[in-house]
Amino acid sequence: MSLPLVPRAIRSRAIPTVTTSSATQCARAFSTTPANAGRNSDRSKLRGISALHRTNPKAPLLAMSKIPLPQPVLDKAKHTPIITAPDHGLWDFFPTKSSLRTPEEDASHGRAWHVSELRNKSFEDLHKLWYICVKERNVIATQAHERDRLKPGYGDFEAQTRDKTVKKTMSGIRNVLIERHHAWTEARRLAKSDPEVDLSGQGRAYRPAAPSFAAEPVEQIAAKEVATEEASPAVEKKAKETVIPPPTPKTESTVSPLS
Amino acid sequence: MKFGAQKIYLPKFTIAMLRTEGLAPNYAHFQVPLNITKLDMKDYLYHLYNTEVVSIRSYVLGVPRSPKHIRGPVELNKRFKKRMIVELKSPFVYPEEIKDKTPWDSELYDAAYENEKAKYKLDFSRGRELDEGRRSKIIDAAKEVLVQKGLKKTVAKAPMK
Repeated sequence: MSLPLVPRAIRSRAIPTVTTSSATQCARAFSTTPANAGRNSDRSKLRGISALHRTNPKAPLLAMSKIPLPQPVLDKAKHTPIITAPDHGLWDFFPTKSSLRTPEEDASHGRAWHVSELRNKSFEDLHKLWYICVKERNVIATQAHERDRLKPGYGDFEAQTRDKTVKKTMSGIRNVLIERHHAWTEARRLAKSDPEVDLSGQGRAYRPAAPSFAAEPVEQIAAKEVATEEASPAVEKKAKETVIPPPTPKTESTVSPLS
Repeated sequence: MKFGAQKIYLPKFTIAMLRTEGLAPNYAHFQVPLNITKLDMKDYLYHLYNTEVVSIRSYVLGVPRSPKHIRGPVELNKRFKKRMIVELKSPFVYPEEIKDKTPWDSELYDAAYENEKAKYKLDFSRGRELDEGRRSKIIDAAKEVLVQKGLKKTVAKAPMK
């Protein structure tokens, strides 16, 4: 029997020769793996450590069972009752403190504000009214959703009528303020080219050339006014608090008296 | 609290507070206009309702469109809904659901609704529901007339299956 044609170097190292004769020779483990396997030549300390597979022979074992976890209270009777604060802001969505207003309650409203009535009101009053209208529309919208969900019966028509009334008031407020803005813009534009108007901010703005109502010339009237202001400091202070002087031409802003 | 520098004196947007099951009391759910942002919402709730907000989450829902032949011009406004879930500093429990529906005439409403449904079915059924064998009776009567006139044979046809 002839040996297979294997190179001499491999034959002597790896493959045990058939020709071993001694029976006392120890039975070596047969393995083709090199002897230095397992000892990394790259000296990598992070080798074998995986967070995903949780392999880290150097990390200490975490005994999670020793840490007592908080247990949820599933019994609803044992839950602490949550009481809404009586002055919570969101109660403004529910003026009757119930989730729905009855059709009678919804229908109990008057007509919308007339533009002629709103023209008499100051900006502060109109501003407050606007916010009341906005919040009322929010209430109506909330109840529309609830009625849609619950379907208790009639009530849509009353709510829609109420909404229309509120919207009419809001449009009235807006129109009044627009009117005032246009009037102010026009007045300013005309005043710039008007010789009888002084927009400098010092003293009276309207200085007519020939006043028909007064015997004294306008400058004297103005001078008297200044004198009275300087005479009494308390009165002067009060006057200063209430009177807002018109802006000077340089620092003139384009913001209307609406704001 | 920090707010924007621009002052808006006449805000013109409407929000609806929605009832949501499973939402904790320190959360509130609102439906808002599509162009409103979280910052606007925080501002609005503080200045109008004096409620402070911890965090806000928003999402937009698409509303399924009705079939083309029914679709009208107003539909474009209702294509999307924006909703926001707001975390409140102080909890607010949504008022309980109404149990007694008598102020809304629920009995009358439900009866009227059922009536409308039946009427609709009647109008659009093309007489199918009201058949009661009338159509088949007419067919039989017509066949008899033809048989009498000698235009139709009396041989019965096998039923079609």
